[in-house]
Amino acid sequence: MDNKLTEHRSAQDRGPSEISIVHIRPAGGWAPLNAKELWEYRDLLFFFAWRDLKVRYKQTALGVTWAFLKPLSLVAVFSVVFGWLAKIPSDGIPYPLFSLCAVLPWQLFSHILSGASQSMVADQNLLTKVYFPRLISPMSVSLSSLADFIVAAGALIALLVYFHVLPTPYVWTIPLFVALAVMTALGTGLWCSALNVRYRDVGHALPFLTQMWFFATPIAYPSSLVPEPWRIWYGLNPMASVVEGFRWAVLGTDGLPAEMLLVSLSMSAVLCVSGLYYFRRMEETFADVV
Amino acid sequence: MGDIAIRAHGLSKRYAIGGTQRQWNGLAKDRSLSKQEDANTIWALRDVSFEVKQGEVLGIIGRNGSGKSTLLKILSRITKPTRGEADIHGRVGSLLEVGTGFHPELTGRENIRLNGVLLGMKKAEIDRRFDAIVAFAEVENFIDTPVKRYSSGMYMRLAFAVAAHVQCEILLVDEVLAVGDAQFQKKCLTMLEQQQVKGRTVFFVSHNMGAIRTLCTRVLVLRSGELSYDGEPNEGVRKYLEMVGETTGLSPNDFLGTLTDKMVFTSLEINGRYGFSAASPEEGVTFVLRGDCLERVPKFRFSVSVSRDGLRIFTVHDGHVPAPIEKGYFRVTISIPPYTLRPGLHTIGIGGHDGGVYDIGNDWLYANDIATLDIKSEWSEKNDFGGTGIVNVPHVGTRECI
Repeated sequence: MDNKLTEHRSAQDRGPSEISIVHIRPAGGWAPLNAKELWEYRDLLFFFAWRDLKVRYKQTALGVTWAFLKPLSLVAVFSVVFGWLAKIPSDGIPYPLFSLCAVLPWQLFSHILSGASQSMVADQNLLTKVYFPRLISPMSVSLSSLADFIVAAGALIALLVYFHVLPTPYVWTIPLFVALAVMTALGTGLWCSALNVRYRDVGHALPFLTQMWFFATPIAYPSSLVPEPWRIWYGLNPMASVVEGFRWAVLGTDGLPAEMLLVSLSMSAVLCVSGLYYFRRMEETFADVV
Repeated sequence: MGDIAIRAHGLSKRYAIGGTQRQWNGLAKDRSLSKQEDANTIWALRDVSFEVKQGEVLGIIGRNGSGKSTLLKILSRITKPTRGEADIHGRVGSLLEVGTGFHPELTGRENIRLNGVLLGMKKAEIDRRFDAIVAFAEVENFIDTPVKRYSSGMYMRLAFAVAAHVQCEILLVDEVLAVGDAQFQKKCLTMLEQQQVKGRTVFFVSHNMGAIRTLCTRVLVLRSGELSYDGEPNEGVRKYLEMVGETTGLSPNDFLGTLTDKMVFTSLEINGRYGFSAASPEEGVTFVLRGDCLERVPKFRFSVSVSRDGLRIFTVHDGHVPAPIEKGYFRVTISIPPYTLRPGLHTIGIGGHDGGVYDIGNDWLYANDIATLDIKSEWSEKNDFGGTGIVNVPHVGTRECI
């Protein structure tokens, strides 16, 4: 009885204007982004991200500590192999600090890329049974990876304190470089996830692609090793600008000419917009093909 | 009230069978190619049109593969139609295969939140309904336990509870009542009846003809993807049962199980008739199963089960001990005595398994609802009109006046 009353009240709360009309039409053509619908599903975006985080650290003894143990252990290996054995220059910066500034945004990037690429296949159970804007799934991966990134940034603060290095006054620009990394990762991830629905080859090719991308990004080495005339075109890899931007904002290096940043921004925008449109175009057939 | 809730026009859906679905572009007009295309595709739904008014409870019935689920998938926007269109007025909630979106690692509480949002509820809405959901699912004591530790019954109850509490104008229900014990099924049916009272539009797919008859105000019968009947529920159910009975030969596609590649049933004869048969209560019923055993099966018992309104009344076997069947043709006869069944429509399933009297066994095959048996309304002393129920049981009564 109680139940009925609340039902009734909430039906009135909603008002007649909320009776929406949905038109179902055959698939085909380029679909617009439909940002309004995405906004209506924002709760789901957060809940998916929350689910990812919750599940990621369930039944682990160390829990969230893993978020900064992972970049730190990678940096330890790099410092020994590249910094100490191979003597790779680090623009006069302590090597661990130099590489951590790159590893942090790189791990953000690679988590989003691999998570978003797998998102449609991982959620295929949902795809074939419930409707929601499919974009929510890869977008929530970005959100949960960002949360991990913020925790991992604690490792950077610890190293800055340890090496007695004060960040530059431009440290406020970091969110912009983070945004560039997320855009690049999401754009590429959208392409890969839509392709992955039809061609599972993507799952096999992706680790290789990520590894190539890793070496094409100045993570273990400074971009000053790249010959000067090539530097601008190096920006075609937006992650190069992200990494050099991080070092510039935190450590005050000068590895990021403005032209290179511009090339990166354009490249990232192209990836992101084309990824969105390709994904939207393919999404109507996901449930039939996956 | 009285307003249109759903208007569907010419809905059709084509699926590719075998291999991935090919993208078709305008350039490939080659005739041989399009012929090849036809051979590799199947129309799961063909030119289905209907209008549903707000508050109607619509039953959708049809044999397996007749397009019921495809229709619901299109209406819930999971997949797009190949042709045709539909307008939906209001929010759609689905109870398609409950448990979708549950994460085994998360607790009951967390899954209620996640699943509620997934089904389109707002956070505040979930909080408001949280207690009602938990109470409905009867999992109060386990609400903070990961659902991977739930029994399958608890899991299903919780999943149904969340889906049933979603605030929506149109509710799509696909065969959910196949889960849970009888008591819970009844609870779900009551819940659905209340949906009707609240003026919600309900689409209800089920093989449970009893539920269809009591809940629905209108019935759509689908047949190989086409709409073959649209109208009054009792008539629709009759049409469907006749349709089930029409097929004399059995299709291997009707059978499920581990032995489907070793045994093929070719016909089921009931009192000398195939498919739909009517019998007097006094006749008794004789089932004759014929088929071909492609490979020797070392242990097997044949079975016939009789259901009414979706409820299995009983299952009988050709013997109590599993015995070998040799390669080749077989004929199995199972009879039940007169006056066992009471007047009404029954659906018959056949199959068998290697289980004995005490154990379930491993290998089986089974086909549900492949024939209809109508026991005529003829009454006698052995078949007492006052003895309401679904079977007659032997009994003795005495009376003393003291």
